[in-house]
Amino acid sequence: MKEKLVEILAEYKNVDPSEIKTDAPFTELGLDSLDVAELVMQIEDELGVTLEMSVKYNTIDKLAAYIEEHS
Amino acid sequence: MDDRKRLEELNTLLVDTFDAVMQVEEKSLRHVGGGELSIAEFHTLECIGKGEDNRRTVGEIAEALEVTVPTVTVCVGKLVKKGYVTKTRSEKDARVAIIELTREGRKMNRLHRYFHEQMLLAVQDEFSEEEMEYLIRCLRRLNGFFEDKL
Repeated sequence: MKEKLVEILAEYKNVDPSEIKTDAPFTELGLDSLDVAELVMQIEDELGVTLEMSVKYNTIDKLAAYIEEHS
Repeated sequence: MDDRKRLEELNTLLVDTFDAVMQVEEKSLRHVGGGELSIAEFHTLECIGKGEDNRRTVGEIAEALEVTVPTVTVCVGKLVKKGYVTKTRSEKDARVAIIELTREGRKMNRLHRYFHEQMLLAVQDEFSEEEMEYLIRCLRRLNGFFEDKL
């Protein structure tokens, strides 16, 4: 799951997946709230899951754990 | 503090807190929506998003927001132009307009909810757990009091 999220984020930011730190808050990865909303919607579309944008899932690690727990 | 002063302070606190919440919300949402959406438009999007499959009729929106149908019609017209909702005729009854959130509309709704979450977490940081419990109990009673006056 984590790898898939990294892939989606890397594509969104147009960077190499190796540059994405999975424990870094999205803000540190250069994403503002509009970017996070777009990213969450792309993840929903690609993975067929339902997510809520929340400060509780502000890293790839936390978001992946949430998806795994709820799918 | 005597009764009169206490009531004056309560009045000021109620009015100022309400105004401050509205101003903070407006400022944050203006930033989120790039200045393109008004608070009323954000709340209309929120209302539509609560409908099944992110859609509602104009009448349902008017009822939920406690405003007139013409007010909703004007607001929806603006939201259609900005690309946040679509307006189609009901297959069952052509007189009924169905308003549905577009992808951008759903995105704005998420950002609105996210703003509220951030605001509440920030408020929570200001209080101890015990104070929060007490605050919620007091606000629940206050809300019940005003609801009864409607």
